[in-house]
Amino acid sequence: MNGSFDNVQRIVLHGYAWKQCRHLVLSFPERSRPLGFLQSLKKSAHWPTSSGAERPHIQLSLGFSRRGLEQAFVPPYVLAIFAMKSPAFMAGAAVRASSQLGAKGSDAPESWVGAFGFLTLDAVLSVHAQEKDGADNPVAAINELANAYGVKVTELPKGSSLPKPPGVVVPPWSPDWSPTWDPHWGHEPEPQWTHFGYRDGLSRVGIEGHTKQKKLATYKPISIHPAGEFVLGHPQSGGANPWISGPGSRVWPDEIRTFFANGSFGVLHQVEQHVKEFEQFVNDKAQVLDMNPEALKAKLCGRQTNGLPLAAKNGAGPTADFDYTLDQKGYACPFGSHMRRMNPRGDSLAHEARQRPLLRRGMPYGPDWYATTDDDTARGLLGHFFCASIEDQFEHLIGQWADRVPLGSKDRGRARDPLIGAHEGGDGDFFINRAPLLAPLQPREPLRLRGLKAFTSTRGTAYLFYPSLHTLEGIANNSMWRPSADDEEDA
Amino acid sequence: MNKKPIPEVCLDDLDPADQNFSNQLLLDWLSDDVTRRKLYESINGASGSLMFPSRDASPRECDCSGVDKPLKQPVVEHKEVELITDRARIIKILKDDGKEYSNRIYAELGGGNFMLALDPARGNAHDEQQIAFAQCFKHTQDQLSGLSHRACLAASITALRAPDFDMAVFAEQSALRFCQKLLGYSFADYRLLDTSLRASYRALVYQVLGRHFVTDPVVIPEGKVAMAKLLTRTSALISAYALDDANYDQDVALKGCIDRDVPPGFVPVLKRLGAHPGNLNGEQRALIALGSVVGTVGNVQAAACIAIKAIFEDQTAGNTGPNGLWPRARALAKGGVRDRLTTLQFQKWKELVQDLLRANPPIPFLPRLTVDKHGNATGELILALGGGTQGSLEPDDPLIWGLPPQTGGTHWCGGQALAWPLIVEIVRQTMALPGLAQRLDAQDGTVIGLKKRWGFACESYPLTHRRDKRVAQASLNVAMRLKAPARDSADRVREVIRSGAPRIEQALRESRHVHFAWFELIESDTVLVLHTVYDGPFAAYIQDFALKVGDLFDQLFECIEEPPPMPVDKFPNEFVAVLQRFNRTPTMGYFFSAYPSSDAARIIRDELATP
Repeated sequence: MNGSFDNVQRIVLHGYAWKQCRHLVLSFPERSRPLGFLQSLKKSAHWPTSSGAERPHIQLSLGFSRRGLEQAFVPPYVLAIFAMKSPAFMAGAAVRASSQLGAKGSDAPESWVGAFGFLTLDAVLSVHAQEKDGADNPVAAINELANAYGVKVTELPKGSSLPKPPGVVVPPWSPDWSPTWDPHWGHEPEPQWTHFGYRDGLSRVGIEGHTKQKKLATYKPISIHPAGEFVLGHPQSGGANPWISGPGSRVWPDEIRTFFANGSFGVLHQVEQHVKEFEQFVNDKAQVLDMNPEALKAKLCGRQTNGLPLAAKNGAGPTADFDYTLDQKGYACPFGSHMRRMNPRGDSLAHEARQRPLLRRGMPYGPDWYATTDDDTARGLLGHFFCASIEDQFEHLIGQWADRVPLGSKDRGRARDPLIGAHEGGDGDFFINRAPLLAPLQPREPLRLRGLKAFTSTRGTAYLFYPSLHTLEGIANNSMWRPSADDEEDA
Repeated sequence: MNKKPIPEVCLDDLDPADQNFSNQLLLDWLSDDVTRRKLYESINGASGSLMFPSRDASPRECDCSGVDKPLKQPVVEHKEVELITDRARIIKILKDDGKEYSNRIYAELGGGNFMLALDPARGNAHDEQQIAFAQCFKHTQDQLSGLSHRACLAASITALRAPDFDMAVFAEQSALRFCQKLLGYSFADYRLLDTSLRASYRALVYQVLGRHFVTDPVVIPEGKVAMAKLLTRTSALISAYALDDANYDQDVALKGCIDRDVPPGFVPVLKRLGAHPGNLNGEQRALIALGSVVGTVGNVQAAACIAIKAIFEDQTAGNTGPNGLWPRARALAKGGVRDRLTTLQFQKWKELVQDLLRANPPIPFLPRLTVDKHGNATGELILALGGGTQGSLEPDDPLIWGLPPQTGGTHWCGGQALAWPLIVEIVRQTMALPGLAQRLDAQDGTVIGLKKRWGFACESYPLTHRRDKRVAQASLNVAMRLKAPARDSADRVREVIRSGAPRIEQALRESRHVHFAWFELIESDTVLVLHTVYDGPFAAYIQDFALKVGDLFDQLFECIEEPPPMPVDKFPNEFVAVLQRFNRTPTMGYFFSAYPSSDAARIIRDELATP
C-alpha cells in the first residue's frame, strides 16, 4: 500500500527526529545551467530521498519557487495552472505576506534576510542528518556541483536539535515507555525541543493510505486525514481532487497530471525567537497572576514543557493522540493557547468544512539559550511545513488563527497566538479560563494575561513546490513534455 | 519592473554645452529622494547654489497687470535659473522685504494671490487681509485636533474601504474633508473643492518647479479656471453666511453647509469672514479663504506621505528597538484612536514627525525673482528648502513652516497652526491601522513606494492593511444570468429555494459566519442574485458552502448560464473563482456596519442576539 507514495519526497510524509539540517537556497542566475546541476545531483547521488526509504542516514529534499520552475524550463501552460489552483504559490510569499500572513513591521518582507530575496530564491535543497558531518559533507559536495553549473548557493543558519532544557521534569514513563507507543512501529524517536523550552514534534497526523493501520488505530478520528490534504493528485477531505482537472471539469492530459501528482507544497518559514524576552515575560506575569512560571508556560502553549497535553486524559503520555472533548470549557487548555489554535482537534470553528492539517518538519537553529543564556546570537526555528493548499492550510493558520481570534472560537480574549503572534500594545488580553471552585460551586472569572509581546520575528518565508521524484527527473532531463512512446502508439 | 535607474550624482556631469541633457539629468536627480539628498550635499559642499538651464524660456515678469508692459521677445536658448540650497542664503531671501527679491511668480496663477504672491511692501488691502486671516482662521488646538480627527474618519469611509489602499488618496481626502469642515462648505461642494484644489495645486507645482523641466501650457489656465469657480462659490457662501447670521442654519443658500460633526464651539471660517468688520470687499474676503487652502491639501498630503514612508524606511533599516520610528509610532497610535489628543501626545507626535519632514520638506521648493530697484526682474531663483533643512535642529524649522510676519519674513505657509494637527492626525490614524504594510510589486517583490511628480507632488503610495480587523463583515452579491428560457429557469430557481430552504437555513445557521443571506430575482426574473453579509476571508467562506451544501448549489447552477463545473463540492476552487467573477462589489466600496468589530459567531456566542 505504501508503494504508491514512493514517488513523494520523503520529507513530506516522514517526520523524524533528525539532529542536523542544512537548507541551501539555490539561485539560478543568467547563464547558469540549472538542469545540468539537477542532473549532476542525480548522478552524484545527491538526489531527494524517496518516501519508500527506510530510516536513511541522510535525507535530501528539493523544492522550487515559481521562479525556480520557470528557470528550470517548466512550460508556461503548466505554470499557468498554479495561477488558478494556488495563487499563493504563483504570487510568492513576499507578495502575500502582509495581506495573508499579517506580516507587518519587522516581520514584513522588506526586513527579511537576503537569502529569501524575491528575485533570487529559485529552489531550496535541504539536507537532514543525524551527525554534523553527515549534513556538512553533502553540503560541501553540492556546493561544488553548484559552482560548476553557475548555480548560486546561500546557506540558511544551520539547524540542529536542542537538548532538554534544565528544570523540565520528564515523567518516568515518558518518553520511552509511553503507553501509547507500540514498539512494533519501530524505535521511538528521541524527544525534540524548541528554543522556548517546550517539547516538540508530538502532534499526530495520520495519513490515509500511508500511515500504518496499527498506528492509525490509536489516533483520534480528527487526526486522520486523506492523503490529498498533503499530496497533490489525491482526493482531499471534502472529496475534491483539484489537481487533476480544471478550470472546467475535463481531466487534464496525462503529462500534466503526472507533473503535479505526488507533489506537495512546502513552506520554509524562518522565525527568530526572543527567548530572553519570553522567559522574562513568563516570570514577571507568573508573579502577577500568582502562578508557577512552568504552569503559565503550559497555559500559553497547551502542553506542559515536558510535552504532556493539558487537555488529555490522565495517564496519557506526550506522544498519545488526544482531542478536546474532555475540555469543552477550556479550563484545562485555554482556547487561545498556541496548540489549540494551530490544531483545534475538532473544536468547533467557522469555515469548518475544511480541516487545516499541516505536516511540521521544522528544526531549531542557533545556540541553546538555556545552556548559554547568550543573547547576542540569533536563534529560532527553521519552520518547514507541508500541505496541499498553501492558502487553505498554512496561510489560514498563520493569517487567521494565529493573527486574530479564530472565527467561531470560544476564546473570549482578544489576543493573538501567545507564542507566535505579532503582539502589539493595545491588543486584547489572553484569557485563561478557570474551573469553578467546588463546594459551593462558584464560577470564577478567567485570569487575564495582559501585555503579550512579540516573541518571534519572521526572517523570511518561501512558498515552494516539492515535485514527486518522477517529476523532478522529468524536469532535470527536460523530458516531461515530450509525448511518451505509449501516447504515440495510441495516436 | 523596468524601473529606470537614476544616474549617480556628480555635478560635473551637468554639461553646460548640452543644456537639454543637463536639464533632464537634474530633473532625474531632483525626483528621487536619495539622489536629491546627494545633490543637495554636493551643492552645499560647493558654493551652496547651482545654475541650471531651465526649459521655460519665456519671460516671467508678468504680474497680474502684466499686459500694460511691452512683452519681451522669448530667448532662444535655455534660461539660467539658480537653485539655492544654502540655509543662510535661503533665510536671507525669505526675510527680504521685497527690495532685492520678489515672489510675484505666484501671481501668474491668479486667484488666490493674497497668501502666496504677497510682497510685504504691497500696501493696505493686504494688511487688512492679514488681520482678517489672523482673526477668522484662529481656532483652539482642541478644535483643530477634533476637526482633523473627524475629517480623517470621514475620509477613511471610502479611502480605506478595501485592504489595499492608496496613502496619497487617504491623506488628500482627509485634508479635503478638513478644508470643507474648517471653511464651512456644503458636502455638495466636496467635488468642487476636490477638483479645484487639485487643479490649482497642480498649477502651483508646475509654476514653482515643473515648468523648468517639462512643458505643459494647459496646467496654469486650468488651475486658474478651477480657482475661479471655487472663488465664485466661496464668495456666494460668505455672503449667505453674512446675510443670515441669526438663523443661518435655516438659509436655503446654506443648505448642506451645516455640519453637526464638528468640535464644540467651532464656527466655520467662511461664516467668520462674512461677519468680519471692515471694508474688505467680497472678493478680497473670499481670497483670504482660498489663498490659505490652495496649497494646504497638497502640502499636508505630502507631509503625511513623507512621514509614513520614513517610518517604513527606518523599520527596513533595522531600527526595531524601542527608539525605532515604527515601534514608537505604533505605540503612540495604539492607545486607541480617540477624538482628542492630550497636549503631551500631540507634542510626541510632533517630535516624531518633525524630524522626518526636516529630512524631506513637504514643500520642497519656493520660487523667487531677483529684482532691481524698479522692481524689474533680473533673474530667477529656486529655493531648495530640503538643502537648507539638512542637519538643522531648529524646532518648527522656518524653512518648513514659514517665517511669521513679525520676524520680517513673508507668511507664505498659512498654516503652522492649521497644518500640524491635521498632519499628526492623518499619520496617527494611518499608523493605527491593523496590519499596516507597504504593498509590493508583484513582478519583482520590491516595495512599490511613494511616487511623487518631480519630487514634489504626491501621486500614489500603495499600502495595505487588514480591513477585516476594522470591519468584520463583508458583502457578497453574486448576480448570475438565468438560462433561457428564463421563465422556466426562474420557476425552477424558486422551486429549489422553496424545497431547499430548510437545508440552506441549517447550513447558514451552523456556519456561524453569515449574518444575513437572501436570494433575489431581478431584471424581470432573468438574473438571480445571491446576497449575503458574512465574516472572514472570501475564499474560505465560499468554499465552506461549496463543501457543505454543494448539491443545492448544483441545482441552482443548473438554471444559470456559465455555471462552474459541477458537482461544486468536487471543484471548490472553480466555484470560488466563478462567484468572485459574478460578485458585484458595493459602489465605491461603501459598506455600513452598526457593529464592525462583532462577527456573527461572537454575537451568537455572547447572546447579543438570539438565533
